Amino acid sequence: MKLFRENKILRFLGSLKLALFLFCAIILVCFIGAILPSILPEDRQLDFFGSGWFFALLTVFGLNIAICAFSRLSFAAKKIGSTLVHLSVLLILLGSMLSYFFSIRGTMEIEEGQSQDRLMLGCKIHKLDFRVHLEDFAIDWYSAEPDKYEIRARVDPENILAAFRLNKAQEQKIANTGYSFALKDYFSDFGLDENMRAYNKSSQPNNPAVLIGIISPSGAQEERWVFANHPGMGMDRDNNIKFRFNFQPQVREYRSRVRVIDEKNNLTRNALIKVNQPLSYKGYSFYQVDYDHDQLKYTVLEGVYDPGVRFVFAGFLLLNLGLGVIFYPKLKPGPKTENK
Amino acid sequence: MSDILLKTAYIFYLVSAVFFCIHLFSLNKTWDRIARFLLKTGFVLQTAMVGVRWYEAGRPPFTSMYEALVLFAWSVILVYIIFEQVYKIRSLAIPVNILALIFLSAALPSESAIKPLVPALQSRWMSVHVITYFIGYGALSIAFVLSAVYLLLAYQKKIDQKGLDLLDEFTYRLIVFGFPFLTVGMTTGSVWADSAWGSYWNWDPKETCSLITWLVYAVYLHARLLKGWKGKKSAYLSLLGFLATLFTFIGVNFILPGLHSYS
Repeated sequence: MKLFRENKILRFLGSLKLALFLFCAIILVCFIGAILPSILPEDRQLDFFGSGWFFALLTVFGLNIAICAFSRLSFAAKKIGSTLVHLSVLLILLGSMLSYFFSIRGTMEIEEGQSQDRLMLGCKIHKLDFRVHLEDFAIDWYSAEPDKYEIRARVDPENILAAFRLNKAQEQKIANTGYSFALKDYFSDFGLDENMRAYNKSSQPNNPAVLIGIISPSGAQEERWVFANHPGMGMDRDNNIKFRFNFQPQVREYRSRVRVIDEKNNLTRNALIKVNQPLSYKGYSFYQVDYDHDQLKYTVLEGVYDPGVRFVFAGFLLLNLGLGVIFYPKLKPGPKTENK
Repeated sequence: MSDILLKTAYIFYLVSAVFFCIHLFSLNKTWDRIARFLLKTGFVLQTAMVGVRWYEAGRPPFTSMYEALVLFAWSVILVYIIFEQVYKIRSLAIPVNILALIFLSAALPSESAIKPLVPALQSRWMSVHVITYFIGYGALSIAFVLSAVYLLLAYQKKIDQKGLDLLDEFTYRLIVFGFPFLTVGMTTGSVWADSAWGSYWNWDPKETCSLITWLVYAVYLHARLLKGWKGKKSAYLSLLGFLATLFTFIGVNFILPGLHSYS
């Protein structure tokens, strides 16, 4: 303590003046870092917050807090809140540093029924000493069928545009064109069988399509499949009229049922991985990040080994505790809040 | 049902504001009492609205701009009611009423359809993260109004020093109240990000701006508690803090796309 008070350099490094300057510098740098990605073109993006000088700025900040905390280290009731807060920030900075230098983060694609023991870290491979086996991958949608069918029509050569929200089987006239149409059927996962007949492959909305019955001004009738995912596709007899079917099914949840196989320790463990529900094993955490959008055959997991995260979360806990200890007594009514 | 409740609450706030105005001119305490009663009844209705929408949506109603603005208005009044109970202070009612009306006026014309949640938002952390943040925002927005009033009155010299000191003291206490909530909001958000994406901090624009806001208020508290900054200096810092809050809450969504683009 005496050393902190007597040494000029240490006194400056732990001073409030420097702390306020560093606060302002970090605020300014963060602001620039937040807006830069939207200003710079894609090919000139910078790793602003991963740069050496930002790291140096945070190191000086950590030093300032460390000297400030240790020079006034006190566990007396009046000072404990401040001590906790400063120590918590140090813990958060320490955890962030550990994350920055020692964390491993890579992706893992696994097909149903297959196992994987490698994480792809960009071009590198990180081998695990256990395997993750994908039992099955499933996806739930909010709805595989729209509540209302959003259909857009364009009639040439006048280029008349019209938009509709229809129920199934509802007949609709297109004003000023002489055309009318009706929705005859809906398949969530359109497919063709060996006889080239349309059928619904599954209840999943993988290839939503509507069958539209068209009556032209001449009275000619035509049936046409219109696909949400493939707007231009189809064999149209009457080229004067085009349809678009707008339907974006929304994912409710996707999940991977996996088995961790640790042959070294002769262990297996079953787990369900979902967004917000990672699997943790041997210091690694596996997160559900993506999947095979076409066939729903494989899952994409992100494997993370982060030795800093526990320090950061412990820091968060101490920070909240410390702030409560500091500020709760300051909220008590007193003479300063009277006479209003 | 929730829409009707919100519109009714809005009418209560509006009538309450009219009665506050009448009270200001007539100085008759009856108007003030009725206005206060209407404000609190509006708050009860708005609380019911949040509950009903939660039930209707089958999830916490804090994910769209409409829902966020409704929660903002609700938080401002909640903080006022807490302060009225603790400090027996009544003069905050008018700025609070105006703030609530501003937020609800912005909410009512916006898209209010209940939309399903994307998987990342389906987390128990969401309620804690959002509610604590908004209680913090509520306190800081009232502090902002008090700071603005402080500066206005200080420059016009229309109030004695005692009155100015009281305004300054309540601004400080509101920030002292709001800052820990801001901290809980930020840290729980970080824990949530870790469980959803495997990274507790991504330097996403919204995260970065929320850190900036936190740092500005940290500067305010350091300057006040350790350097003795009071009056105009701390009022300016409070204004700056709220500008950062507004930018984090609204500005980022429109200007800087990132992981929080849905909110």
